[in-house]
Amino acid sequence: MSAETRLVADVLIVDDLAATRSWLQRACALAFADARIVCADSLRSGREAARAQLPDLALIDLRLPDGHGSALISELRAARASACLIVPTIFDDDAYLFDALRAGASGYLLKDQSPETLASGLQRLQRGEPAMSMPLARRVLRMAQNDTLSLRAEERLLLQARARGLSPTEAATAANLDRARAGRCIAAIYRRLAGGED
Amino acid sequence: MSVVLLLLLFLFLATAALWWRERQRANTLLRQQQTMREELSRSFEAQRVLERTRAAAEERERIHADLHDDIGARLLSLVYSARETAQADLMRTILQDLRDVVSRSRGAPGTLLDVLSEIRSESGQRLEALGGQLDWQQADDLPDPALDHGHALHLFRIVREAISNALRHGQARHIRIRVRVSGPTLMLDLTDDGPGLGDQAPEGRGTDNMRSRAAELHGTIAWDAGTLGGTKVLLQFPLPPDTASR
Repeated sequence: MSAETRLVADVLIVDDLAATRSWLQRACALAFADARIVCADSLRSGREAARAQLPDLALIDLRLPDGHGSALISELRAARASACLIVPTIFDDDAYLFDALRAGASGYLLKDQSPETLASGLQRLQRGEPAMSMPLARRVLRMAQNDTLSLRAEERLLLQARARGLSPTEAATAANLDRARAGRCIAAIYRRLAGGED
Repeated sequence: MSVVLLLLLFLFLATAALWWRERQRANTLLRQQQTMREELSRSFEAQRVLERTRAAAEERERIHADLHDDIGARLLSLVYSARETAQADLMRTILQDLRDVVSRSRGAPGTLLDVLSEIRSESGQRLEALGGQLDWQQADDLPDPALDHGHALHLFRIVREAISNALRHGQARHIRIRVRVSGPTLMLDLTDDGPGLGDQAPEGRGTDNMRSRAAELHGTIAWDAGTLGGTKVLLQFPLPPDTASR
């Protein structure tokens, strides 16, 4: 799980829009030069592709014509605990995004970004350093207030800074963390959201 | 004879008294029925209001989902086919504007500090996507009054439009936003590092919108040459009283 340089050999992209699939494919090819990339356009074909070859990294859209991407995320998480499972989304406060994180997603990416920006985001996610949007940070802080989730002191500082609108880099500095450490804090929070240990 | 008359009189009085009592009882019953009926219709009315609220919320959710699936997807494909980053940025702001209209009216109304945090986060993300930088300077002594949906939306849209203008006309990459209060007035200024306006006042639908939004906030908006070069936009409006901190 903590292996920093996990090899990404197999990538699965599940999205019903052809334009999005090819955009994400470009980003994946930039991020992981030697990876085999398989695309699927529905939950069903995504499942089939995963049965043929369990992916190391998967990008799974949440709104698919035949169901919610979260279902596939929890199946893939159960099949491989170390898989990097990413939600490409238009809005970082999407109501379904939180469900996906609870189902075991490693993080999300905004799919309107350039392939270059997406590629560096993918590499950060693959290193175990996801980002957390302001709406998500607020939601997690509310959970901590209601005692439905526990936060360590540095995690709380980091999320409070994000909730005030600071950028990821500014928030990390405000919490006295470097960017990589801040990312690992967020990864740990996501794992706890999914009911796992960190 | 008089005994019979007396008896008859007595009987008549007794009947009358009985009838009177029954009538009173019937009236009370009627009144009770009336109150019950009123209570029932009141609770029916409450139920109807509840159902209407729920229906409205469901409708908003449906619009949000449509917006996401349909318009969102189409705008996304425009982002993908845009040749220039500025075009892609324009599509993103349309996406953002659309989302605001739905989510501002469905979410809980925020306070000033909440709204400023969201504006800061969104603006920073937007500039970062273009390789630019946001320098946000917010005074520590800002009050935190509740803002209604309309106020929050106007504030959002004014800043978003000001940034759009800076990016479009000024080719700016560095934007400074300062927020402070002077008495009951909130002062927000936005300075870019573009070439500036020169002497001409800005014109166009975007700036007209900003002016009318500032007026909706009972405030003013003005354009000026920035002290660091570029253009400076200054928005001033009176804050509602800070009820939370009293």
